Amino acid sequence: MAQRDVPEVNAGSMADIAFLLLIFFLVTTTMDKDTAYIRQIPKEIELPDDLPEVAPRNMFRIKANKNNSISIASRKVAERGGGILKDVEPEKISDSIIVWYEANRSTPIDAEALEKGNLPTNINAQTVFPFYVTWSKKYLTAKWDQAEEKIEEAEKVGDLIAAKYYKAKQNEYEKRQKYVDFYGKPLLLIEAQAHVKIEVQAKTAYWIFAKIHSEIEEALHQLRNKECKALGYSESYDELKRKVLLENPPKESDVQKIALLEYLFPSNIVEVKPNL
Amino acid sequence: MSKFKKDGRSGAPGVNTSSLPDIVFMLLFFFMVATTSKENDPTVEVRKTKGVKTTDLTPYKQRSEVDFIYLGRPMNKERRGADDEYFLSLDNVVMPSKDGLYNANHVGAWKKDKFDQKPSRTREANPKVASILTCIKADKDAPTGEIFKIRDALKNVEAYAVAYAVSDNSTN
Repeated sequence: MAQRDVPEVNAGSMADIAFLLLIFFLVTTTMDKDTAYIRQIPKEIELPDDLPEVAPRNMFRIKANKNNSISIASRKVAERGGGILKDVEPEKISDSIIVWYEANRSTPIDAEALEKGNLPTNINAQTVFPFYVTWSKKYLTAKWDQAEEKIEEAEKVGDLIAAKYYKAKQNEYEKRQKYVDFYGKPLLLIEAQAHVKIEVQAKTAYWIFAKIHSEIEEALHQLRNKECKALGYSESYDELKRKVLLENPPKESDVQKIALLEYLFPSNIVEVKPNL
Repeated sequence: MSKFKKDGRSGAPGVNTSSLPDIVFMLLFFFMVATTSKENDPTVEVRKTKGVKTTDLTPYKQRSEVDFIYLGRPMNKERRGADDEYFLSLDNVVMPSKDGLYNANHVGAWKKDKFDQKPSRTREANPKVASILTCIKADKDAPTGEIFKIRDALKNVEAYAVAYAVSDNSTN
């Protein structure tokens, strides 16, 4: 039997259909990127009562009032004197934060010595800047064991809050041990309590609030970039970040580098709720 | 006489257009992949503010791990009172208000509903609402107190991750 020809479909209008779809997506596409500062709202957690208060040296306070003028209430950081700097130019904040972060970095204290209150003679206990502490692996192991004892103690008396708190501490020490390995020497950390505190009023304009966040981010990026050079990395923190964002999956060593840099210069930001 | 004598009538040769659909399809696929569609038009006016070293939210958007809240004065000029009130614009609210304007009291329920409406893939990767970002796009002159009201509302539904939108003007 003779084979019948399969009739051909006319594909002439294919282009029209494709054009129609194309124009639809052209019109609905927004090419501007959404960019933002990601922050965590603090959870309400219960803490043991016997925790020490935060020393003033560990707070870098940035205040903004309803007239949108900013003051840095942490002592006059830029000039290392006393008092409050009023009407600060917003662009200067990042420089002050860097000074505050780096002031004691060249004169670190051993973690064990600090705990026992044996400050080296070249350190002023009344300093207005946070201390830097070196953590050796040996001391971290000792602290881990100490926390283990505290947990057992707390569990014996049924103090769940304290047990949970020390469990978190233990995880922290474990994490630091890993970072010591990656860092290749005893870890040099800013005091854990050190933080930047943003105090705004209900009427402060959003752009001031965003500007403060922008300045903090600028300072942290500069510090981390500088540390990249000190550690002998071939790329800066900014470059590493961009690389990790574009690659899928990102290189493990790059991810670790970023984690270390963010651990050395943590973005501890406290946003104080204004009276509403 | 000449060997290369021209044909009598010479018309412009036709261009072969059979590969046109291919080219158009290629463009089409590019825009299909690059598109992230906005779910609603905001009902409030948002003038952006600028900052440096921001985080790009595109990866979060592609995984639909971010919800947007707009904070500003109403687009509708008649709704602007003398007291210059700021409102929120939320998308896909279960019981929408007539004018599409909301305040911080609506945020909690909205955030929960948004989480339930997410594709199951997103919810499997993020079993808790805490890991879904809430991006606040506020007008540059909006009072920061409103931001903190939103934060309180989010905290109550355990959505702890917020993002403050700014347009990036970093130099590099």
